[in-house]
Amino acid sequence: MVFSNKLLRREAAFAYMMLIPGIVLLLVFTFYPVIRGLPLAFTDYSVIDTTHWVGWKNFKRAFSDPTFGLALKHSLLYVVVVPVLQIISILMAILVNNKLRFVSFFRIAYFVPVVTSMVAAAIAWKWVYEEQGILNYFLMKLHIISEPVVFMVETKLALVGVMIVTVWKGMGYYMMIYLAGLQSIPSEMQEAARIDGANRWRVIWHITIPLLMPFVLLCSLMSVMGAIQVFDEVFVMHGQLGDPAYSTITTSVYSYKVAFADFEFGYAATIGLLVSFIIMAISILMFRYTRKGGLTYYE
Amino acid sequence: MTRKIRVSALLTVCALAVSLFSACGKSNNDGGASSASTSPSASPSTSASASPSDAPKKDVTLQFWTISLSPNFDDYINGRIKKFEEANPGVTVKWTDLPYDAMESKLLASIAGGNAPDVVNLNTGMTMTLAGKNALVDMNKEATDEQRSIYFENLYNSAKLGDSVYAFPWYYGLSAFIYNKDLYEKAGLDPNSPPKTMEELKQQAVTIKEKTGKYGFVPSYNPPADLYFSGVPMISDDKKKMIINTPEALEWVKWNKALFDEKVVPKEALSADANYATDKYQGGQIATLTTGAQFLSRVKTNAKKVYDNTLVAPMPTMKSGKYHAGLMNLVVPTASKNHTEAIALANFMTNDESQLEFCKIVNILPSTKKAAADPFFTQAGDDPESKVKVIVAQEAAQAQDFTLGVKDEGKILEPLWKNWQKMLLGQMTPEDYLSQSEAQAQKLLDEVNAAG
Repeated sequence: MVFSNKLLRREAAFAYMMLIPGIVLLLVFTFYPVIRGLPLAFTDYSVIDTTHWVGWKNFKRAFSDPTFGLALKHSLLYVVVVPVLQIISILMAILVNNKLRFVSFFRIAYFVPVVTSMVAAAIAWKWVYEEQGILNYFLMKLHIISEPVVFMVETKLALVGVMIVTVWKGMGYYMMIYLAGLQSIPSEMQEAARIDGANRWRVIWHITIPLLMPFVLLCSLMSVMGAIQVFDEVFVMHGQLGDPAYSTITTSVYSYKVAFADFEFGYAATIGLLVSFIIMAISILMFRYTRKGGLTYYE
Repeated sequence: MTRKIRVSALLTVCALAVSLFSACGKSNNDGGASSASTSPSASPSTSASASPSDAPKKDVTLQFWTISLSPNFDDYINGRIKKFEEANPGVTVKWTDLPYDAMESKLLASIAGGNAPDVVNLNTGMTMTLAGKNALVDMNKEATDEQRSIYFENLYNSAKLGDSVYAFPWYYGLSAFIYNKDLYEKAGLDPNSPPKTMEELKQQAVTIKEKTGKYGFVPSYNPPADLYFSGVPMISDDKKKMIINTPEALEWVKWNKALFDEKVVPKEALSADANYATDKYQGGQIATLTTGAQFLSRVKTNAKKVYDNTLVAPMPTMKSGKYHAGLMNLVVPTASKNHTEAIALANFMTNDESQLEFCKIVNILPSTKKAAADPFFTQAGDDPESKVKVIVAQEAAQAQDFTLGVKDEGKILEPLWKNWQKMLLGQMTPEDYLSQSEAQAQKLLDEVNAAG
C-alpha cells in the first residue's frame, strides 16, 4: 500500500490500530469456535459421555432425516420474508426521508420494534394471535372472518404468523440503513430528472432505487442470512418442536433441539455446517447477480 | 468494488455464516463420563448414618442447584442449608437457583467445563436423560439403606434404569379439580356435583359451552403419560417391546379427538402450557382448572374475586385409577468431587423434616412416608387452598410418576408427541396415530437397545 505522505501513513496506522480490538474479538469469538467446531460434525460429542469419531455418519443421517428435511424446507421458505421486508423498508425510508412534519417522531416510532427484545415481542404477538386476541377481534369486526381463527395452531398459518413478526421487528432496522443510503445520494441527480419531466415514481424507480442498489444488496444479504437462521421468534412462539406438528420448525430450532434436548452436539454441528454451505451458496449467487447499481455504475 | 475486495468480502461473509452455525466446545471429553463404580468416592458407605460427619472431609464446599425456588422460598432453603451446615462442620453449601429452561444446558456446560455442581434439582425426564448418559450417581450403589428407606418405593423407583436408581425423590404436585361456582350455576349445573369421571367432565364442559359460551376446561396434554394412566402398558417388562396400540389407547385417543373436533376445548390447548389455563381461569374465561393445585395461589393473588368464587374437588379419575405425579428429584452428578457429602445433602433436603416444613409453606406433597403421614395433610380449613391440600394428599396414595425406565426415553417417546398434534389437527386418524407412533417408538427403542 502506497501513501503519498507521512500524515496519510500515520492516519492509516491509527486506523489499523483501532481495528485491533475488533479483530481480536473476531478471532476469539468467531474464528476459534469455527475451527474448534468443524471437527464436531464428525463426532458423536454429547458433552457428558465419551466422544467417538464417527466419520460421515452424521452427514448420512442428515440426508435421510425427515425432520431435518422439513426444517430445511421451512428455513428456505422463510426467505420469502426478504423481498417483503426490503420493499417495506425502502418505502418507509423514502417516506421518512421527506421533509414532513413530525418526521423524527415517525423515524423513532418505526425503529422502536428494533430495540424491543425479540422474546418480549414474540410473547406480545402470541397474544395478538390468540383465539380471543386483537387480530381476531378486528378481522371479525371488519367481517373478514365469521369465527375466530386460531393462528398459532393452524399448520398453514403458524409459519406465516412468525414471518410477520420477523418483518415487523426488522423493518425499522433496514429502514435506517436505507435512510442513510438515501441521504448519501446527491440530490442533483433527482433534481435533474425532475427538470427533465420525470414524475415522483419515475425518479424513485429510475434514479433512487438503482443508486440504492449497494444498500439493497447489503440488506438483502443480511436479511437472507437472518431468515435462514431464524430462531428466537420460532422458539418463543412455537417451542423447540416447532408446534404445531413441526409446522414451524427451522434448521436453527432443530439444531438447538438436537443439541440441548437430545445431547447430540455432533449431529447439531453437522446440521449447522450443512446450513452454512447453503448460506454460502446463496451469498455467492447474490453477489454474482445483484452487484449492479450504486454511484460508480453511472460514472 | 474491485474483484479482490469482492472476494475478501465474500470470504468474510461466509466465515461469519459458518461461525453462526458451528457449535463450540470440547471435541473430546470424558469428564463426568466415568461410571459411578469407578469414581474415587464411589464406594458405598457402610455406615447407616445419613450424615457425612462419620468421615468428614475438611472444608468441603457443595454446589447446590435448584429450579425456580428463589426468591419465593429463600428463607426456607437458606434455613435448611444452615441446619445442614451446623450438623456437618467443615461442609459449606452454596445455593444457586436457575430457571427451569436454563437448568439442563447450564448443567451440561458446567459438567463440560469440569465444574459440576454437587446436588442438582431435576424433574424425572431430565434425570432419566442424564442417567442414560452415565452422568448421575447410582443411589442404589452409593447411598446407604437408611438414606434410601425414607421414600415411597414407587416414587423412589421413578428414576430407575435397570437395577440402578439415579435420584432421591423430592416434592411433587397433583392436580385437583378447581372450578368456578358462578359459571357452573350459569350453565345450569349443580356446583355440588363436580365430575367424577372423564366422561362426566366432558358432558359438563359441553353444557358449559352451550349455555355460557365459555370453555369447560383446558386439557394439559402429555400423550405418553396420559396413555399410561389410561391403562396402556407402553413397554414390555423386558424393556424390548413398545406396547402402545391397544384398545384402551384407541378409546383415549378418540375421546380427545372428539373434544377437539367438537370444539369442547380450545384449539390453543394443543400448544398451551399450564400458565395458559391459569390465565384463562383467573380471567373468568374458562370454568375449571384441572392442573396442579399450586396454581391456586396465583389465582388468589391475581383474581381475588374469582378465587372467592372457587370450589375444589378431587380430579376425575382416569382408567388406571392412578394420578400422574410430576416429581422433582435431587441428583448427584458423577462429576461431583464430593459424592458422600453431596448424597448426604440431597438426603437431608428431602428428609421428613425438610419436606414437611416445605409442604407447610407451599401446596406440594412430600415423597417421604413419615412426612406424608403427618396430621397436617388431613386438617382442612374453609378456604379452597386449604381444602385442596387435603384432597391432593388423599390422591397421593394413587400417585406415580411416568417413566419407561430406558435410556433416551425422551427421544423414544417423541413420536407420541409429534403425531399427537397431527392427529388432533386431522392429519392422521387415531388408528394411524397409535400404529405409526408405536412403530416409530419401537424403531428408536431398538436403536437404543442395540447401542447398549
